[in-house]
Amino acid sequence: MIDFVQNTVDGIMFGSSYALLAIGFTIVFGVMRRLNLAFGATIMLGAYAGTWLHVHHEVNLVVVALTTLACTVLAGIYVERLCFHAVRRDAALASMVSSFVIWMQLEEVAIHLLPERTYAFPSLFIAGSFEIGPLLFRGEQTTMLVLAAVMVGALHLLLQRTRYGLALRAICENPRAADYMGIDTPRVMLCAFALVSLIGGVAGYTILATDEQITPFFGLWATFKGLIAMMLGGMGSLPGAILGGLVLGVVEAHALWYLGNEYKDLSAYVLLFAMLVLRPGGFMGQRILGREELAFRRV
Amino acid sequence: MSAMLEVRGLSVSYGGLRAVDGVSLEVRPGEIVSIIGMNGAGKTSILNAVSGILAPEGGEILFEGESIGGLPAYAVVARGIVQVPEGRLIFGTLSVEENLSVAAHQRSGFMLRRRDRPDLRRLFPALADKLDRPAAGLSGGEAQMLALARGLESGPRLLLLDEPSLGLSPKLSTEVFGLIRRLREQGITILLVEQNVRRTLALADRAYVLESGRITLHGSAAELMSDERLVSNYMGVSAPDSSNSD
Repeated sequence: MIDFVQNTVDGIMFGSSYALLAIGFTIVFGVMRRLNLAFGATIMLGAYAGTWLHVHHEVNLVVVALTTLACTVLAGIYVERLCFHAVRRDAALASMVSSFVIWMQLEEVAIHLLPERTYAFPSLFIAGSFEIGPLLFRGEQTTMLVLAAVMVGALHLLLQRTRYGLALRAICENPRAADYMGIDTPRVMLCAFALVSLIGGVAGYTILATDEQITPFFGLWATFKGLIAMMLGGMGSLPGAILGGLVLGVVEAHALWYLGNEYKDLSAYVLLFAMLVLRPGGFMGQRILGREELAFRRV
Repeated sequence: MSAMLEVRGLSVSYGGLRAVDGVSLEVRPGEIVSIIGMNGAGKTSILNAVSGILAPEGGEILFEGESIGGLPAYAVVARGIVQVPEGRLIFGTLSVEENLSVAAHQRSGFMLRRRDRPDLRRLFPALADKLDRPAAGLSGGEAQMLALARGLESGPRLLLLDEPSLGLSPKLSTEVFGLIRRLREQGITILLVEQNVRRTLALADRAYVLESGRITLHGSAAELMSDERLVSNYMGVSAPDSSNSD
C-alpha cells in the first residue's frame, strides 16, 4: 500500500513536467488550430546550448538554466516565424509539415554542436531528499513539481488578468473577430510562442536535471510525452493538459514499479490507446465540444 | 466640409471573384451614410477593405487625408475606425465584461482592470446588469447590443456597421436604429450597410446604391426615397424586417 502511494506521489511529481509539455502543445493548438511538431526539438536545442556551455566552459548551474531557457525561446520564435507566421491561416497542414522539417533541422544542429551521443546534464543543487511520514520526496522531483505549479499559476494569471491573455483567449475562440477588435494577432501569436517555449524550457530543464543526461532523442521523447498527455486530456483544453500529464506520470510510475523499466513507455501507449477507444475526446473532450457549441450557437 | 473617409476607385476581389469594382464614395464628419444593395452586391467587402480585413486590389482609401488602404486591421482601429461585423461575432466563451475588454485592447494597460462604464449604463442598460454572464447566454437582441457596445470600446470616430438589424425582430430593429441615431448625436460618424432600405433611408443623410460591385446611384436620402426605380427594386422586398437571413 505504501508502495502504491509512493509511486503515485512520484508519478504526480514527474507528471507535472509532462503537464508543462502538454500545455505547450495545447496553447499553440488552441490558438492556431495547428500542431507544432518542432516544440520538443526547440527544447532539446535549448538544453543542448546549455550543455555545450557546461561542457566547454564549465559554467555554473544558473547559467546553464538561463541559457537553456533563452535558447529554447529563441528557437521557438524561429519556428513561429518560419512555420506559422509565414504560412497562411487556413493552411494548417503546411505548418505541421514545415515544423516537422524544422524539428529535423534542429536535431542536426544539436548533433553538430555536440557530436557524441550522450552528455551529462548538470543535476540540480537540491539533490537531497526528505521524508514526510513513510513517504520519500526526492529533491529534484519536488523542485519539478513546485516549478510546474508556479508556471501553471503564472499562466493562469496571465490568461485571466492581463490584456494579452484575454487577447489570446479571444483569438482562440474566433481569430477573425479578434482582428475586427483591433488585436494585433501576429504579435500576440509571437508572444504566445515565446511563452510556450519558456514553459517548455522549464519542463525540459527540470526533466534533464533529474535524468542527469541528454541525447539528441530528447526532442522526440518530449514530443511523445507532450502529445500523449495532450490527447489524454483533450485537444485544446488547458485543465485537460494538466490532468493528462499527471495521469500519464502516475501510470508510468506504477508500470515502472510493478512491471519494470521496459514497460514504462509501453504503458503510456497502452493508456493512449485505451483512451482513444473508450473516450476519443480525452478527459475534457466533452467540455470542449460543449463550449464550442455554445460559442457558435449565437453566431 | 472635407471628407472624413474618402474611397476612390476601390476594387476588391474575394475568392477569385471581383466583389467590388471601382467604387468611389465619401463620408463627411458627423454624417450617417448608407450603402444599400442586394445580398452579394459587395457591401461587406467595401467595409472589410476600409477596416483592413481584406486587402484592396486597386484604388485608394483615405481617412482624414491619409492613405489607409492595405493597412492591417489593428492599425486601422488605432486610427479610429471600428467595424461592427455582420453576424456580431461576439466571443461566446468570454463574459460580457471580457468581450468589452477585448475591444479596448489597444487602450488598456497590461493588467486588466474593471472600468467604470457610464456610457454603457446609459446606452445599453440591459448589458450593464449582465457583465459577468457568459456572452453565449445573451439573446439575439442583447448580442447585437453587445456587438455595438464593443464597437464603441476603443473610442472610434468612424463606425462601420454591417447589417446591425439582421435577424432582429421589428421592435429590436427599432431599438438598434434609435441607438445609431444617438451615437451620431455623440459625434460618431457612421457608415451603415443595411438591407432594410426604407428604415435606412429614414435614418441616413446620404446613401449609395451598390449593384454587382458598382455604385449605380447616389444622393441624399430624401432624393433616393423618391426614386421610383429604387423604390420598386428594393422597398418591395425589404418590407418584413425579420425575414432576412443568410
